[in-house]
Amino acid sequence: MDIETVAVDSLKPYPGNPRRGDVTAIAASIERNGVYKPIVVQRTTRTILAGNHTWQAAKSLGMDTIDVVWSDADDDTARRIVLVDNATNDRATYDWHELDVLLADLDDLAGTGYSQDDLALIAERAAAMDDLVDDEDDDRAPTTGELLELSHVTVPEPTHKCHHGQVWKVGQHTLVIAKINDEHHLWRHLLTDGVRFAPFPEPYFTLSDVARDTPLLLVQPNTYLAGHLLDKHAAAFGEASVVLT
Amino acid sequence: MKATSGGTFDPSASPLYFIASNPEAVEESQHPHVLVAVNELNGQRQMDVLDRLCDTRTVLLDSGIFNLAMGHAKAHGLSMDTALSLHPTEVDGFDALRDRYYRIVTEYADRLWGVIELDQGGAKVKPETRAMIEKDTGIVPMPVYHPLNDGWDYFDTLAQGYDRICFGNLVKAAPPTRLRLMHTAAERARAYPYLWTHFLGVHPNENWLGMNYRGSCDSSSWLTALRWMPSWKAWTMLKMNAHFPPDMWYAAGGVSKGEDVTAATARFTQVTIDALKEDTHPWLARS
Repeated sequence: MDIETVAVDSLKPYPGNPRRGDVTAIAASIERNGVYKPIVVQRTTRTILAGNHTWQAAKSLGMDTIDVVWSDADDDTARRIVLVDNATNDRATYDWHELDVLLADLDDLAGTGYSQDDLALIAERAAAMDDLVDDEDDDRAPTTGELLELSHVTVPEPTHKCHHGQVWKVGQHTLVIAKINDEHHLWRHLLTDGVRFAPFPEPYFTLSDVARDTPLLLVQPNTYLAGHLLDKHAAAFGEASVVLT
Repeated sequence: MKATSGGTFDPSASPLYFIASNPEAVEESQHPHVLVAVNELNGQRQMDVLDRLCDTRTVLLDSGIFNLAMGHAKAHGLSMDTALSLHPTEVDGFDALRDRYYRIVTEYADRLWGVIELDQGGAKVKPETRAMIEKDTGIVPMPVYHPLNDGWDYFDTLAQGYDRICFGNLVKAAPPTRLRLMHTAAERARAYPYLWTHFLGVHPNENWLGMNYRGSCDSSSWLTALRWMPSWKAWTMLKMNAHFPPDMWYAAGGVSKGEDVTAATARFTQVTIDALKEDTHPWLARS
C-alpha cells in the first residue's frame, strides 16, 4: 500500500458516520506523538473510511496535510469498512495486567489517552481480573519477569514434571492431571467403589489421615501443584510415583 | 509471640472469607464476615453501621492507608509504588487518618475480629509505625507482609512475633505467581502452626481452600459484576455460573438488585466453604 500525503481540506468525512470519537484525546496524542498511522480514504470520492476523528483532530490543530492510504472499495464495501473498523475495535478487550505494566514505566501520561484517574481504575481491574481467573484454566508458563520473581520469592518448580492428561500411580492413589468441571472423561472411570474423590489436592494431601486409610482419586488441573504433590509423596514415603498414561 | 487484637477472633474458625466494601454495602449483604476500612467510616451514619455490624457479623478493620496513599499519588503525580514507599508522615492527611484509626480501634477492638496495621512505608518503617500504634493505643494490629517487597526474613520475624499476619501483593501478581505465592505461604506457615494468615485482596478459590494453613481472605470482587459491565458475571459455589448479556446489565445508579444478587453469591461462597470444612476437608476434619 502506498502512503500519500494530501491536503487535509481535500478530504471529506464519511457522511452519517455513527462513531463518536474523542477528538480532544486524539489531538493530544497528535501533539505528543504525531500522526503515527495513515487514514484510509476512498479514492473515487476522497471520503474517509477509517480515521474520521484523526482527520477532525488534525483539522482542529490547524494541520495542512495528512497521510492517507487509498482504498478502491465501491460504496457498498466502503460502508462495510466503516462499520467493521468500529465494530472490531468495540469488541476488543484488555489484559488489564499488561495495560498496567505498559503504563507503569512511562514518566508521564501525555499522548497515551490515559489520565492519572485511569491508573487506579486499571490497577483495580487488573486485581479483579486475578480474582476472577480460575487457576485450573491457567497452566501457562510464567513469563520471564515472573520467573525472575519466582526464583527469589517462591517455592521453586517441582522435580516431577506433569502434563495435562497424565495419570500417575501415587502409592495406593491415582493422580489425574485434568480439569474438574469439564474433563470428566479423563477420570470418571477411575472413580470406582471404595475410591474417594479428591479434587484440587494440595501438595501434602497424600500425607493426610484420610489418604492413609482410603485410596484416593486425586484430580489436579494445575501442573505446579501436582508436581509438588508427587515430590512430597516421594520425600515422605520413599516410593517413586509412576506415569500410567 | 503477641496475640493480635480483636475480641471476636476464633482461631478454630478457619477458613473465612471476608467481603470488602463500604459499610453500607456490606451491611446490605447477608454475609457473616465483612471488611471495612477506616477511611470509609467518615460520619455518624457509617459509625452506626459499624455498630450494627459488630453486633451481628465478624468485622475486620482495615486502616485505609492504601486509599490515602493512592490519593496522595494522584495529587502529586507519583507512581503507586513510589507513594506506597513514602514514610507515613509524608502522605497527605496521614495525621487525620491516624487519629481516626486510633479512636476507632480503641473503642471497638473488643467487638472487632481484627485490626490491620497502618501498612505504609516498607519493611523498615512499618515496625516503627506498629510500635507507635501499640504504645499509643494498647492495640496490637495484624502486621502486613508483602512477599515481593519485604523478603522472607521479615516474614519469619512477623510469624515469630504475632499470632496473625496479613499477606499482601497477591492482587497485583499474575495468576501463576499468585498460586506459587499461596503455596509458598503454606510451606512457610508449616514452621508456625499457630499462625493465622489473612490474604489481602484474594477471592476464595479451590487451591486456596485446599492449602494446609489456617487463615482467611478478603476481596471486593464480589461486587465486580456491578462495577465493570464487560465483567458482568455471577459467581456462586466458587464457580462462575453465568455471563449476562448486555440487556441484563444494570444501569449505573440502579444497582441495588444487582447488589442483592452478588451479595447472595458471596454468602453462598462462605456456605460452600463451611460445607467443605464439615464434609471433605481432610486437614480441618482432623483438627
